[in-house]
Amino acid sequence: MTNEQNTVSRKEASEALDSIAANKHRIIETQRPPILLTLLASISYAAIIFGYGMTEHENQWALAMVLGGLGFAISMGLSYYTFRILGVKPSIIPKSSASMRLNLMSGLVFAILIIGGRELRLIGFEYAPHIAAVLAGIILFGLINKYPTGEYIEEKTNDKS
Amino acid sequence: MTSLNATIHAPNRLQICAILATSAELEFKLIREQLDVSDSVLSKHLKVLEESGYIQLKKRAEFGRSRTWVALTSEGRKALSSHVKALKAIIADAV
Repeated sequence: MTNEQNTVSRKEASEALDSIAANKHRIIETQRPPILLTLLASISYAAIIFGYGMTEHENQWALAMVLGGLGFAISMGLSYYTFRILGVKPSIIPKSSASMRLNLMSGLVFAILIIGGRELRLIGFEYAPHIAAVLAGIILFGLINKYPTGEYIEEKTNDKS
Repeated sequence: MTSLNATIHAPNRLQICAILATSAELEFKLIREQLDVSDSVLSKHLKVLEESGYIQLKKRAEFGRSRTWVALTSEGRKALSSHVKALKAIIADAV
């Protein structure tokens, strides 16, 4: 496409990139799960982390972990069902390298919060599970809102400067 | 230097590839609503992309009706990524 490339001006290239970004963000808006479902998923996930951090020989916090797991599974199942009705199949395995990096980073952060929350409590920092659970809930809420399909979407494709 | 892809460069096809990159699969009806085009126009663009190996079309019966699902292939993802790089290069070269 050498000839066409020569005729594509900077303005046209810029407009093409802008339209790609705009369309991606528009479709993400339609794919965002209902806020209550996102809240249920985030609170359930926070309950799992909090329950794990507080559990001592199967005390009542183990129940919080189980209930959190149940709530999380239900909210994820409902989200998936909503997506299918809307005509979207979200990515279970990330398709792009940027999405893979995002998922790996999120997994690492959640792993640190789960293990850190419990380990810090065991060495005497009493409120570590509380902080870890709140952080995990907020991060998950943000991730579901920003990347509902599991694919990384650039903030801005084009620099207009 | 990466060159622009003639198949993807057409505005509607570029938008189709861009929105398909956000998910594993999207339904035909949703893409049509997003692009605000008729069934025939969308079918024509999808056919061009399918023949180039950039997308895959699957018909499945779900919720009591037949639905057509469209997915970007790995080749399509690479082509879109190269095309975006080429567009960025044009902007960078012009600065």
